Amino acid sequence: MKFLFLLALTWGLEVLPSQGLHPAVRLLDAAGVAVHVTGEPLSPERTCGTCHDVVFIKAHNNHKRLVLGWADARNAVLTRSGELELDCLLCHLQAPDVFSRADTIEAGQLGWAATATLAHTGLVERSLVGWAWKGNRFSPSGEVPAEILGLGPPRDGHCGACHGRTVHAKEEVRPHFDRPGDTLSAASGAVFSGQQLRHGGYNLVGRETLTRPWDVHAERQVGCVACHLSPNNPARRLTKRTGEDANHLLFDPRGLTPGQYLLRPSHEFSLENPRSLRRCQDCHDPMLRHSWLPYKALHFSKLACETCHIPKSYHPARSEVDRTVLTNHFGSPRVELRGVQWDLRRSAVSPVEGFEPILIERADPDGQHRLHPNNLVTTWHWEGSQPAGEPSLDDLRKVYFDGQDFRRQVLDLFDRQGDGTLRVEELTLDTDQRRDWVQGELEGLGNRGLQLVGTVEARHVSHGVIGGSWALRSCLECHTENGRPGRAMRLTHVSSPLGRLELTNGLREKGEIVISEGEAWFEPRRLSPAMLGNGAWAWLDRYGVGLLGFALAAVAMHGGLRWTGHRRRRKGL
Amino acid sequence: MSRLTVIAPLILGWVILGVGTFLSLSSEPEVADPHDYLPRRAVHYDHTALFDQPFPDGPAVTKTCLQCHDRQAHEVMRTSHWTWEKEMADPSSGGTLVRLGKKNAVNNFCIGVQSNWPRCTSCHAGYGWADEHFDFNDATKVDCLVCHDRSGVYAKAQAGAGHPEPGIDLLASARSVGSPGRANCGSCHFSGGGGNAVKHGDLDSALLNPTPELDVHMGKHNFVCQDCHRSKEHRLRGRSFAVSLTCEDCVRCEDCHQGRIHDDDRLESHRTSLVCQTCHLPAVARKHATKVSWDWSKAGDDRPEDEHRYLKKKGEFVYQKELWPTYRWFNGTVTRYQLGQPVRQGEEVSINRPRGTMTDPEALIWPFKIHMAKQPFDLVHRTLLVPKTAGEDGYWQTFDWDRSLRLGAESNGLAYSGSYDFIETSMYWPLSHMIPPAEEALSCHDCHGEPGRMDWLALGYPGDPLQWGGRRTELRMGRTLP
Repeated sequence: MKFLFLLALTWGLEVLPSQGLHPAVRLLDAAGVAVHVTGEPLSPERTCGTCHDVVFIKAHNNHKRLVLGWADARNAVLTRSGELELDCLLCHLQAPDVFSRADTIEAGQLGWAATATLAHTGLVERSLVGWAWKGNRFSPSGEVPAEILGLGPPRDGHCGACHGRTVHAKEEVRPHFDRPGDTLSAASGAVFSGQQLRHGGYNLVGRETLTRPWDVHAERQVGCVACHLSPNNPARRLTKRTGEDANHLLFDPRGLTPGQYLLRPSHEFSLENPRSLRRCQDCHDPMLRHSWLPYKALHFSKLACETCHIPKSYHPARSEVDRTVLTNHFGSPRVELRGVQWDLRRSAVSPVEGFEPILIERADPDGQHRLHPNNLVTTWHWEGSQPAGEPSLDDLRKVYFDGQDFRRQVLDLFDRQGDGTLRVEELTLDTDQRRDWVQGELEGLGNRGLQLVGTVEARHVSHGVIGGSWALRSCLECHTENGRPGRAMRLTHVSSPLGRLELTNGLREKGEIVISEGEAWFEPRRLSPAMLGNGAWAWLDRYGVGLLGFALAAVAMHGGLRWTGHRRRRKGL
Repeated sequence: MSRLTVIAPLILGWVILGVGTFLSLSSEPEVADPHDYLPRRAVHYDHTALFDQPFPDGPAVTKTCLQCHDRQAHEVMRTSHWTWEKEMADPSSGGTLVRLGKKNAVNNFCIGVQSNWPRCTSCHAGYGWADEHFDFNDATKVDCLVCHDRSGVYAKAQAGAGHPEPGIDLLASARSVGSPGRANCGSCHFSGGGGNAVKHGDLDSALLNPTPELDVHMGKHNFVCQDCHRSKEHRLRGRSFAVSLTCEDCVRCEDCHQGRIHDDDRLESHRTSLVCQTCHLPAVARKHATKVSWDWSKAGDDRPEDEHRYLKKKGEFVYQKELWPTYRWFNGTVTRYQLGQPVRQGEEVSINRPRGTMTDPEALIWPFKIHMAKQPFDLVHRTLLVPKTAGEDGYWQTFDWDRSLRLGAESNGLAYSGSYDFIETSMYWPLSHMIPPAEEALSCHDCHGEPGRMDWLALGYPGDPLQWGGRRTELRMGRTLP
């Protein structure tokens, strides 16, 4: 099981030929001595720091998880993470062995973690104390030829190992879900692959007709780093200035030389940094296309490109994360998915129908408020006053588990079917008895003022983009009474679990929670001014009818006067 | 002025305004419908009642046909289905006129017709071409039935010089005549090279009743061959570059698919460098494996036989199913090896190399099946040889290369020194049939991904044009190509 789990992590890290110009590398240990001489673990910071300014890179890096790797996802070594170095190899090695790395970290051999990343290269092999270097793979001068390492810019598979499903177009997109590295896919249903939906391993409803790719950019060889830029990479600079000064300039030719960049490459891939994120309009000019669309400028001022170009996500995404219960002794919460008819984690043949993102208005960098597609995720958790915040994972473990097994009381309380095992769907605080019992147990462990809260947050859907032929084109998608803008999204069953549901700050002013037939829904507020066909505003209807009546009356009066005048002229009056 | 004269224009105005608005909202850009360009099929005329006596042989049927269709027989006699040769300008020698065709061309399958007539001419549209003395002016020798039999009973004898199999009910066949169906064309063209699917890769018996996935034109839209290979006076459009040098009268997708084809600009822009088949034919031999290699030098051994691996008569083979094409620039002309031309020992002989490069404005990237072979050549005269394989004293009876090569050289007018060896040869087969539905076409990653199908450097690009720029536009490194 563990093997399969970790194998899943390596999915997408395809072995591809190196195409870089990176020179041979002398692998150094923490003392700066060649590792094949000392036998010590590799120090990426000392090794890469020979040519690259590691101090600068660490100071301009928002990929903190590169230090932790997968360990934090497994809650294994959070407290000891400080012993790990920044692991450049995870993103720049042609085929990093994340399996061996995670295994090494889990075994507590943190110092060997970066060395383990090299396992696929054949430079190292496991030993009793950690890893042993194979001296015969090194040149006489102690260097490793660049082609063995295949160092170069990150590929989609590197990013996908942590951020979500990126699958090479020639591989099959296989059904598995909610693995640790699936953050983006889990939140928004994003799959970054050029493969056609019908060719993947998902049992998609109507799959034979789904000849569209998972993502058109992936299909067209526009990889992750094409849009998520290193802010100071001179080769990938945005052509247009983002403009602090001299706004008349479209492009400033002054900039870093490639050598300067390679010395100090910025690793700040922050979404908030406009220089590190290429947006749709940086590459596409929507006004040059969409000839079929009336009022183009108006539409583009109200709608984000993604609104029409991500009409549906075909990968299931989280709808609920229930952290008030634990489904295993690792501490995994109960997760509910939207877009799948059964449970994808249990049956690979569960029919997947996908989901339509909800449209929520948000401010874009240009200051304009536009509708963007989103997924809504409700996170249930206990909120305490003393200590403030959520009870610790350890406390929750004590409530639910005795070692690796559920406690007897938990089984008695939650096992509805009475079969001695607990299914995920049984693990929910949907009765007063269950909620009160868990609350009492947590209070017994020193937690005070506990309240069960469900927080609803919006997760932006920005991947899974499709080309024009699959995008929304029909006016009726939006301009009807139940058109997409204003269409509600189901959140949760009101009694699952029994708690207070609240919206996060960003959502509170965008709509409200409504209860309908025992289910909670988020209903976005209507747009202002009213959209043609979408939303009935009584005053506007009355105003329109009035205008029409006035126009008809005016026409009738005008016609009548002319007719009367004509008759009078005929009679010579 | 009546009330009507005031109200009527008002109503009319509103109606015009309403209809105009409706039309302006509902109008879509007109896309040419490929079906508009299809030829009209002839109305079937039932010949059943016209014949009541059995026919003793094929020419007897033809004589009956000529009573009404004399002009048509002479039309056939002017086509390459009858002459097996044609005068054409050789583009690789400055337009010198040459007479070339199946009749005198060497290939790297069964090698050549001359000296092997009775076997090879079983696919000739005539009766009795058993040697070099066949009378090409005798209209009674035209085989009408091979193309027009619709009964399904007609078949030519395997080594019968074009005569039908003995025992065929020629009366039933004659009564059934009509416009050719797929089986008529397929009786020869599916079996080129000596068996089903051997030669072409994109033509085999799977096309008799294909699924839409195998061939969208035939399987979904019920095409027959002559819907694309249109005929005028029995001269069918189309070129086989195994025996032709130029693309005169070629069939093109654009014959029906005219104007803007793709909604997507990026795809549309590929049309300046690719033929449609390059993307729309991801693989051939999807149902039956096709021969990709034939080694004549291994023939003659007494080892276990398998028609897809080894035959004593023919040597070793390699067959491949789901064959991915090889991509080459092709401007519609080929450089063709012609009998008697010298070859260089140790170098591969390309029998019909496609002409064209990236800088040739007429050239587009085409998909090809490449068939490799090892076939005999004269060590002294340095020319490819045509062995006599079929018939009396042929290699398939004697397994004596020297004797069969000598007999073959005599028939072909070639010099033979008595010293021979085998040389590697290649033949290029442009692929155009078995087009699957559009959804099965290649996607970007198939060519521009890693690893991609295209060998960009071999095609003349400095690298993947996705990164380096295409041929028609200014290259990103600043160079402009014609």
